[in-house]
Amino acid sequence: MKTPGTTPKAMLAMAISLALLVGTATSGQTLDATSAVVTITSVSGYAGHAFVYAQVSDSSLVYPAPTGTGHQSPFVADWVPQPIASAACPWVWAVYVFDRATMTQINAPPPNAPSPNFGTTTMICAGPSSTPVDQPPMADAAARLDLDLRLSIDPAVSTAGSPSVVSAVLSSALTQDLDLYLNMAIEDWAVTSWTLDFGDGQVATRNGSIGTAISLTHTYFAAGRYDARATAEVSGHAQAAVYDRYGNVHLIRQPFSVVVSNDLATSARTRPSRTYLPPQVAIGVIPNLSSSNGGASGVGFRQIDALRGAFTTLAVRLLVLHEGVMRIDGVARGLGQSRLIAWRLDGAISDAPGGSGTVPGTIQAASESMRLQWNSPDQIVSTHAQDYLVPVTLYVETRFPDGHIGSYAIRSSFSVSVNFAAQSG
Amino acid sequence: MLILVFALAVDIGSLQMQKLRLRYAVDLATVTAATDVDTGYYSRTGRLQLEASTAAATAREYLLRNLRGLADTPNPAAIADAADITVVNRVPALDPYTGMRLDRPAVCARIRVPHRFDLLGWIGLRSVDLTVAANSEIRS
Repeated sequence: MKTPGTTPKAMLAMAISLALLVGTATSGQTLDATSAVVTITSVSGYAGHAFVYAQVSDSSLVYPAPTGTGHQSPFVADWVPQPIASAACPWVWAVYVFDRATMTQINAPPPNAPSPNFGTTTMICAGPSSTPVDQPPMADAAARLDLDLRLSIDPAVSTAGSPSVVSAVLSSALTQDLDLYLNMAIEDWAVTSWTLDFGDGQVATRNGSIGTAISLTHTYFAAGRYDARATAEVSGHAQAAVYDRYGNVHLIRQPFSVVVSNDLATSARTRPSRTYLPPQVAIGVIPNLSSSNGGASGVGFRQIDALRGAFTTLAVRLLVLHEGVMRIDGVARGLGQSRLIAWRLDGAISDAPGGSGTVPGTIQAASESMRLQWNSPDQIVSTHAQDYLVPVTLYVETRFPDGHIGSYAIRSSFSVSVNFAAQSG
Repeated sequence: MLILVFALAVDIGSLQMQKLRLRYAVDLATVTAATDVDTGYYSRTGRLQLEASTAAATAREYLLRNLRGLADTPNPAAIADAADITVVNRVPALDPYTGMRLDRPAVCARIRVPHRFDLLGWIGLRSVDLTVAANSEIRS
């Protein structure tokens, strides 16, 4: 164990050292923080990458801290490395602190201190090779902010007239030096302005605290190839912390700004022509001889028999012969789904008594039944019975696969063969 | 001889009249029955056909009613019960009693009625069986 002042020779060497250090400390006390030089290099980039490099340099730093009576500290310490042969901590710093006025050790261990006892209560386990305290000061410290801007457009190939989403994301990487004497940091940086040039003559600008990402919807109205560009203006501060030999910190703060930009080619194609072919439908009826349709179910018939003079109720059904077709650029791309919305009886009024029949020309809901009566049998034309033809207009709604809904009024008819109730043979 | 000719004329005339009355009775019974439309089938298919059991019962019922109105018809109930009644829905077909072609659903009926001669009995010809058939179909 080493203790200060154990021999006259050592005392002499210490006295000489203290005298030299007092001289240095004096000059050190006059350290002016402005002697540190901070330089900031902002490199804007227009290919998606930019960076800010900040450096603080100070060649006036000295170490160790000055000794002697000329500085503020009333204490003086002596750091002595001591091996302790421990796997976790091969050696320690044994620190002996003295009252500068009396040179009396103030951290002597008690008499019953556990082993290892190096004559001090202040022991610091250091790294196996060195400690920061033991290193000379670095002449400079640097910080670097790397900015990467990525632009994306969804969809990559849009359709003219349809919206696209243009997104820009700014990512960053920050490295900075923080050591005992000089610190260089880049802090509180932010995007102050976003500019999105969509490449078609339209530019969107957003100012203020928006964040490191922006996403805007844009519509290209004409087919073509476009070069979209996103630009982010970034501002912030680089701050250097310079510690003098007494541990006093001097902050040097300087603003910076940088612009990072990137572009992306996109294209808009001509909007495909869409055509919707109406369905081919016909009316079908389900007859019933009562006054109600009796909850008729099933498909309807295009040709029915009817009893002469019998009040006949007809449930109206939509017969889809061919569904509506959605065509894109002339190519069939899907079938619609049609349903009956309403119907209208055309033609002459029927023989139903006393206004009980369906009135021609009136639009009826799809669920309404048609009420008709025929008091005359089929007309005989050239020895053949000619059926009655009942004209009806069908109001049909067709929903196509892309959500388009087409409404159609389609003329149709059904035929009725009117029979005598009975005929004797 | 003159009396025989007179008796023949009277009884044959009576026979023809009775046959005509019976024909009316059967004919009207089938016409009535031919209105018994199978409404369920009509709604399911849009086509008219007869409700077979109902039409047959209706034909028999109206046959009985019609026969009761005929004075010279003995035991109408037995005749109506014994009547042959067929409802034909599958057409074209032939009337099973007359062989007549049927194009539409029809009710076919046949009755056998004994006819008693008044005057010809003197020469031993007391009675004959009259067979009368008719059909009615739904027809345009």
